Amino acid sequence: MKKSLIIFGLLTFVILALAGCSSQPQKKEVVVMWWGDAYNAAFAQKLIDAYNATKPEVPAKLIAVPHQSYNSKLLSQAASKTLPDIILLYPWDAQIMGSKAVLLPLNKYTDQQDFAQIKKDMWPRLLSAVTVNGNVYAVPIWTWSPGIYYNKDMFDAAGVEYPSKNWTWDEFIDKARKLTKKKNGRIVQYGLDSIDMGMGNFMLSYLVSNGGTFLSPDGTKCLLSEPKNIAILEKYFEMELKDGIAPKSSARSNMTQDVFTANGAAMRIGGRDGIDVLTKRGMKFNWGAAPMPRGTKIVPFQTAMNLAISASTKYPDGAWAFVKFASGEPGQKVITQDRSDITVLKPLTYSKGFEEYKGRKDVNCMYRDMLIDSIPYPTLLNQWKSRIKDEFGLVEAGFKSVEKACQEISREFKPAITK
Amino acid sequence: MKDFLSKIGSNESVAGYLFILPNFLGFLVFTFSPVIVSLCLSFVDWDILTPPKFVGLANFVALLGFHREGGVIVANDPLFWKYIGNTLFFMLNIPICMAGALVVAMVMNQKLKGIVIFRTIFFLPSICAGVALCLLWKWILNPDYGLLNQILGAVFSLFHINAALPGWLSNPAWAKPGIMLMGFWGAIGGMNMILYLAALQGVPKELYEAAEIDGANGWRKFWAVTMPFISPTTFFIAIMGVINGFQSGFMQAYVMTEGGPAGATTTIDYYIYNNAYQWLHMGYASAIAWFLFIVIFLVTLVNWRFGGKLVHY
Repeated sequence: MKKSLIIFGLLTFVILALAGCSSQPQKKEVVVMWWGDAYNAAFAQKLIDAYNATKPEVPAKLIAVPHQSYNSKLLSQAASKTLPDIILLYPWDAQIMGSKAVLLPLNKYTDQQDFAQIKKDMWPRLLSAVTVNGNVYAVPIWTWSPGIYYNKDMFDAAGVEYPSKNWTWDEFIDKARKLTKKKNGRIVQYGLDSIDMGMGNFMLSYLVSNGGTFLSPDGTKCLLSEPKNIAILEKYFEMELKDGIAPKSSARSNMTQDVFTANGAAMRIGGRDGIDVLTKRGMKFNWGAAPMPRGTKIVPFQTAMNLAISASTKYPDGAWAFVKFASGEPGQKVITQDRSDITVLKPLTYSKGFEEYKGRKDVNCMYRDMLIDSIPYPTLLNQWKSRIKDEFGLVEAGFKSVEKACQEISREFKPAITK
Repeated sequence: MKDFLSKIGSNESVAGYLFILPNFLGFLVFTFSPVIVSLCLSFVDWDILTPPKFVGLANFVALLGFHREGGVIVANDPLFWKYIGNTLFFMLNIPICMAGALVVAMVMNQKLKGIVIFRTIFFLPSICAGVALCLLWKWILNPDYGLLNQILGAVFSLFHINAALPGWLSNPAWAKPGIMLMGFWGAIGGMNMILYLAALQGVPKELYEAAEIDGANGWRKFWAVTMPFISPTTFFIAIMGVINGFQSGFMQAYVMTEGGPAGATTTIDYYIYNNAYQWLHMGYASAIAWFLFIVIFLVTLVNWRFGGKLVHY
């Protein structure tokens, strides 16, 4: 009995060990790694099906990865040189990974004549956000830029005028202050559902549109410690610290999406995708959307999702064929049909389908117009972004002055990319 | 072949090794190898995306070294020392939690009707998913809408106290106490309570009877009988608490605070994670991990050397 047990154990072990060594002939296809939930995966599959229906030489296959584990999967695959052929990336990730030779430079393809029309139709500056030292490392496939949603009922109740297309930051602060209501010493309604304290789109837009400068033109120095920038940011912090127009960071971390939709705040910063939430059944208030306020000028920041090709792909031409399809008119129609993400091809945003999305032509056209002047959000190191958040967190808590925080942030700046 | 199989089949020690082989292989591949690899990584600069570069002791110098800046000596990585401070601050909770667990265990040791139900209720936090508990406490500690501040607000108004409510998790000064409060809630009824309960039930009743005859009151009985008898358990809980304490804080930081506000809830564990997977400083993260290992090892040695003297076996 004992002998047969040992022999059985040995055999099982050998069989299991050998099972992992089996190999299968490789199929000629390009693998596309995409993030998201079931909804996003279904939409990516729709794009891939549309591409495969054109009978390409190298068909595409989808790998959908949940958003939360996307980055860790990407990194482990990059480390083991097993990246999929095509990867969905933020522009800053494309720049950083491209500069480390993980991605294939695409100039050979983007300079071709058959891509010239797509390039011409694309929103300005989208390609520059994925370019490092002249090398294009990805191609944008959808984009967005933030605006401000507002609750018309709250504005009416407070007797405050709706924002105009050309409203200023002073008007924004004035309205937010009037819309912030207190009861028994506690705030029961905020003017704004959250204030960015980590130099995201909103804070950066405030700084730059009021004449401030974040980085030096070559991106090698942080200029926040300059007196002019400190003065602008001191005024920015007053919005939360003095005027109390938005909840503190902990409340925000739980409720960024909910305070506005739950009638707890009169305004909210958000992209065009806010339409999806606000047109859902059960939203019992009237709402509108306005562009970002202006200072001496208007500076909205844009972001895009991009497709990059792994440097280790076996089928660079096959991968490019898919990327070109996705960024071209056929793919863009699939990507943006019945979705709030904005197509990267400007002419398509003048179509009825875009303008009439969810029956809110005013909002759709506003978001389209914002993209004309918008500029890419800069590529920053995660570590430094975390420092910005920490330093401004100390300002928010009253432990540090804006000046000291700006000096510390500037001192610790390291460029994300060596140009 | 038949002879070979028959030979190993009749050898009991070979059979024993074969039985532990799968587990041993698992340990070798998934525990021992990563530990050795992390030691090697602590001597390189590696961002995952490009090949590692050997830098000798540079990671350890960057971590533990100091330099002169404007006439003042400053740490090469001041954040590391700040997060060491945070970790030690959180560890102040260990004796408080131990005392809480002992009190609860003593209450649960009473012969009352339905005591098993109470024991189960107190043990529940230990079998709940940590992430779910973190999310629950994130809401409880919300300064504006959280249950705790709602209750405190009501109490303040009842007694006409004109003070600001604590900014749990939003104010760097209150964030650590907030997390510690959650830790205390989870620890008083958890595994430590069960260990203390088992220890308390092992104290001979005759000793209490003898103490009573000698005129000892409850307090005296606790210090002269109960505490010495449960001291091995206390020692075990303290050792494990210190080891876990140095490695704690990751889940709370990851789920509840992202290490904030302003780094107030970042512990060494979370700093290692950030360095490795957020900022791609794999070599530096490995150096911190090895430093942490050495600290835990030395502290445990000291605990054994000196703490053991206080234990009555």
